[in-house]
Amino acid sequence: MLKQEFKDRIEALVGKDRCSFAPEDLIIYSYDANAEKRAMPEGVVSPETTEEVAAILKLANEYEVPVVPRGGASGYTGGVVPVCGGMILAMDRFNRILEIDRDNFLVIVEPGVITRELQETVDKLGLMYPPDPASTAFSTIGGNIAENSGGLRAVKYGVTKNYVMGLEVVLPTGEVVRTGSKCIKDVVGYNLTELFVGSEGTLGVITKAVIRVVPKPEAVRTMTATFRTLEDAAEAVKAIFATGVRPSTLEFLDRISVEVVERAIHFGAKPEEGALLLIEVDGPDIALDGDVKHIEDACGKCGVITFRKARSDEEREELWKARRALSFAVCEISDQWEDDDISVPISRIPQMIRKLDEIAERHKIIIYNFGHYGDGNIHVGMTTGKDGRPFPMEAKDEVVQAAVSLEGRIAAEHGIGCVKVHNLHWNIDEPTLRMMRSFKKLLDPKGILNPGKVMPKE
Amino acid sequence: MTDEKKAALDNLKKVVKEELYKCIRCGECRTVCPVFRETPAERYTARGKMQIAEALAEGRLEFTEHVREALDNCLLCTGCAAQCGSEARADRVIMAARQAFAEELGLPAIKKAISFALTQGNAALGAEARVGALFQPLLFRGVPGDSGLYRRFAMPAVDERQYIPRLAAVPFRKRVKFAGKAEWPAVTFFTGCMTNYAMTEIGDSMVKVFNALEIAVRVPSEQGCCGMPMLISGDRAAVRKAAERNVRALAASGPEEPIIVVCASGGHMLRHGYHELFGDDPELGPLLEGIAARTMDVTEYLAARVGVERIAALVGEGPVLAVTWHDPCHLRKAQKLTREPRAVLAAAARSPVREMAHPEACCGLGGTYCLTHMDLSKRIQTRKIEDAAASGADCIATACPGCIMQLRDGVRRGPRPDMQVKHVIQILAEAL
Repeated sequence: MLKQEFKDRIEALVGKDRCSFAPEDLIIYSYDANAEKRAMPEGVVSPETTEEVAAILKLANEYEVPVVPRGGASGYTGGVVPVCGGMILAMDRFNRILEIDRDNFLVIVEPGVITRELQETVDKLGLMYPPDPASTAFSTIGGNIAENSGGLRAVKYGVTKNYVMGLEVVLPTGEVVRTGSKCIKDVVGYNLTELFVGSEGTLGVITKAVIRVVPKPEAVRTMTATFRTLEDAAEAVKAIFATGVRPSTLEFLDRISVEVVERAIHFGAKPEEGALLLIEVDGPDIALDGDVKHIEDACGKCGVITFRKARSDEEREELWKARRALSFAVCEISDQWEDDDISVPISRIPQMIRKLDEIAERHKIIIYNFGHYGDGNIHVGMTTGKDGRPFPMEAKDEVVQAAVSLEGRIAAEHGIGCVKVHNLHWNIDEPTLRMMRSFKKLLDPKGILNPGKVMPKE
Repeated sequence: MTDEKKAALDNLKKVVKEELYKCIRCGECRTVCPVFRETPAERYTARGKMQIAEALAEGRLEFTEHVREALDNCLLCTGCAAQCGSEARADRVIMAARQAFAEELGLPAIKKAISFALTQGNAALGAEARVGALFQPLLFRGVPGDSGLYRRFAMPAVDERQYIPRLAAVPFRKRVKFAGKAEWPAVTFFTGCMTNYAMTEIGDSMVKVFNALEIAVRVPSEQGCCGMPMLISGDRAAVRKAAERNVRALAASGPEEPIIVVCASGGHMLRHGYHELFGDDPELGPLLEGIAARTMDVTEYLAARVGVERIAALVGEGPVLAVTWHDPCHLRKAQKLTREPRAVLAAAARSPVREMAHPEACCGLGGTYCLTHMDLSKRIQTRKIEDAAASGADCIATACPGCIMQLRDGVRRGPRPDMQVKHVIQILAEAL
């Protein structure tokens, strides 16, 4: 229970309009996009300035009230679900792009800016912000930084951490620190920026970020290639990389995914096609014909069945259709899906898929896989189908363990949140975990900032 | 609990059940919401409102004015539903919740007044409107160079620069019953309130264009308000009355004759609203199917049935008009019409459309929203007007009299007060 005195002081700080303890407001800050995890906060406050964030965190320390920073709340792992109660720190009002520095290829933003808005703003100036998680249209840049989000273009352009040059962060104790700079080469002090990128709001509240952008590629070419098996597709990927061409997108659908999508939208898959690659290259228009040729040849050597090239924007949309249709096409099989987000070194993908097939066989469940082949990130969808059988939850752990056994990671781009906390030790050994814990303790001695996330209880 | 209260609560439970399971709470709806953009708080997002409605339906939350405030702060532009990957209809949920609130706490005074005015019989409203037309000059003064009015004295919810359309001395439907030759093919014209009582030039333009195409225009005089203004207040009984009256009036011209609308909201109601609300009503339900199938927006009819080439030929050579297009929410998001109106407009203006940034953004009118949330409505309007002015066009065209009123009001406050705002059918009629 929050003390009335604490509530009064919060209200005195930001005014009546920007804080609430009303029951309906607590309900609507109890969730993110995770299907199960919900917990009611005890209050919500919407700061507008770094100073306000600092003052709120100082107060929270004084009264030992948990604080959960929240962006778009579009995450899948319950990262902003207030599992220990306390205050939601709604960062929606930090929604300004503060500076666009074309000459230095950087942008300074507040964390509540929607990532798509950032992308569209720089696009008009001939620039590109490459990370594009599937939630780009509605997740915030602050959330992306806190989750170190990936996306479709990671194979060529990397993930969010590769574009964060510096941060302004309010520490859990209310101190404001600044990491990094506008300089590409900067070895001054420790690299604290990356400590906060991906920290899921447990180490500090990001209030400002210096973001790197790149020149916008002149053109994009889109292709799809289908193969009999995922092993053939894997050979093709190896062959593509061997040519020196680095696709900007390299997505895959496995056999079940191809079948499901074909049933839903009839995009022309043949029965023998058991794997589909969606490939894009970007760059100067003049160079792309060569790139496409390399890719077509590489696929040709590896038993490609159908190779399609988009010659117009409409055809590009057509090729993307299969990939995009997957999320609704799977509803035909079941409306109850468990999913997971894991990654393995890319050469291990075929092995990983075989292991997943074994798990499906063992538990009599359906597993379909798709994702970002080029960076080893597999999205695993699991269901018992429509027969109403409860899902065997141990299968989920087996999937994650299979990834671990192949030097993979238990989370690729959706974070740990509160749902994978108990699996952390599968990837992180004891001394490393201890070091992480001591960092957390140092920055957040009272454990008020987003408790119950990332780090398992001691 | 009264029967009405129970019925409204049961309806809320039903709609919540039908829509909430689709929502995975990803928050995609937040980014397209014009209200959230101005007041970033979860209670003003579709996601938040749907969760609130669910809690109300399940009895986890009480019907209080503070809760109602969240649900009332919505333009019902349906942008969220159009954006949603799983097509969750927050607008349905919000309207069902408003109905429940109307039963629990009563209608707010301003909405009650509007609902009362619009549900009166045709004759009564006609008479009232005529009396209104006589008295209007006493209360309002003319806007220079326009048929609109500004207020003369301080009035609640009307600021001194609020643009108000002048009421017609004779409503359109009093003047026109059937226009054209009996041997021509005919269409049934659903005028909507604004065209009937105030912007009668839209109705006259419709007649001029269709007659030039040798199509007769039938105007059933028994038709009335589509019911949208009552629906957004949560006055379901009044909507039913409006629906029944219109369905009977429109059914008279037979099962084949197209029903043409010049008002995006009216089209949305005839096509979807009635069916969603009263589809399983034993009396009204069976009559609705035919109405929805016959209804077409005027731009859709001209593009699909007449053909843009024929329109262009009819327009012929002449002066070029620099136009930009504003997508009415209930045309683009609710009826998915984007290409048709632009094609007709380009033909009428003899020039390609100069697209503004965010043509799909709501104008901020939202029926009574502009009265109940004046400040927010004006902020949303300001963005729209700035985008329109930056397009370099001299005229904003659209296909909704409500939007026209809101845009005319905004233009006069914005950077290009000389910009015109017209219905696309009017531009077409003027080009003939």
